Amino acid sequence: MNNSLYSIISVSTLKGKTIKKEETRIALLISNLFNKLSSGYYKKNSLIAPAPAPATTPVKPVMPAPSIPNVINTAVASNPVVVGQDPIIPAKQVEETKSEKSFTEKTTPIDVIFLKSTRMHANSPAKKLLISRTFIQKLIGHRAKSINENKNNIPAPRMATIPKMVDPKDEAVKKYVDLMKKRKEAIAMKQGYEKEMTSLVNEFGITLDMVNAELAKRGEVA
Amino acid sequence: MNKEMINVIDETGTSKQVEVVAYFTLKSNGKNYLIYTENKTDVSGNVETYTSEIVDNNDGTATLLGITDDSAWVEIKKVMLDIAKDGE
Repeated sequence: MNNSLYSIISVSTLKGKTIKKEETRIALLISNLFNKLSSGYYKKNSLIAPAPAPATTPVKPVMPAPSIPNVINTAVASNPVVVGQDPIIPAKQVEETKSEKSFTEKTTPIDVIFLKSTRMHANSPAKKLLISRTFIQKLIGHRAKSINENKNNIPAPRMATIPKMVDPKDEAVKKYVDLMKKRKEAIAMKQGYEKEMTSLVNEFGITLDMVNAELAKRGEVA
Repeated sequence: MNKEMINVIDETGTSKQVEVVAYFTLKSNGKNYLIYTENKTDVSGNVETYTSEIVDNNDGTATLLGITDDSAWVEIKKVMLDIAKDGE
């Protein structure tokens, strides 16, 4: 049975011929597959443009195209993420990104309380991933350690400033005492002025008529 | 080690108690992600984990969204590797 995609070759045509195994073809096929994956060829939503890379940094491929022996060794060595749906990221790429953390862990007491006290409702299915027991224990262990470290670094709570309660009577007493002081000062000044006036009267023989005349000149009244 | 257990209602309305594996913010998009597990394993002994974007509704509730952004998903897997490496 033949169709446009393939045609069946009769076994009789191979009789007596030396058949060489083409192992490299498989390697080339898989290598080609990696290339297509990394270029986004099999991306589901090909209409959605990926986020543009920043101008200063070159775009790194999601998956390099290693030869088969390297891929296998890398996957085994890095305590792998076993996936049912997505390809494994080689350990090489982990080294490249280690120096610049692309995430912030949320392990403060506030974050812990948020998770425990918030009612969480999923409105779409979560992304499922199969992970080895060892790997998941590393993740959980790291989080527990981080939470513990943060527990000891709780900043002292800021004291809220409470406005002082003021009794109006107390305020009135304070005001009376202030006025009493000012009155005392005013009396002292008045006594000083009067002493000086008496001195001028005694020295220059100033009379009431002279004072009234001066006041009239100024347009003032005594 | 004490397990960090929380309650989650899945998309079918079923309430589950799950263990928190990781909770972090991706700097590239400022979004928060939660990775959790019911501690169920497959035939090979691998543990099923679930990852959702978590959005605080600021009313005592939060919504768990599926991850549709492929680049974010790639980053999330890198984050998991980073965290595991940190712990070594």
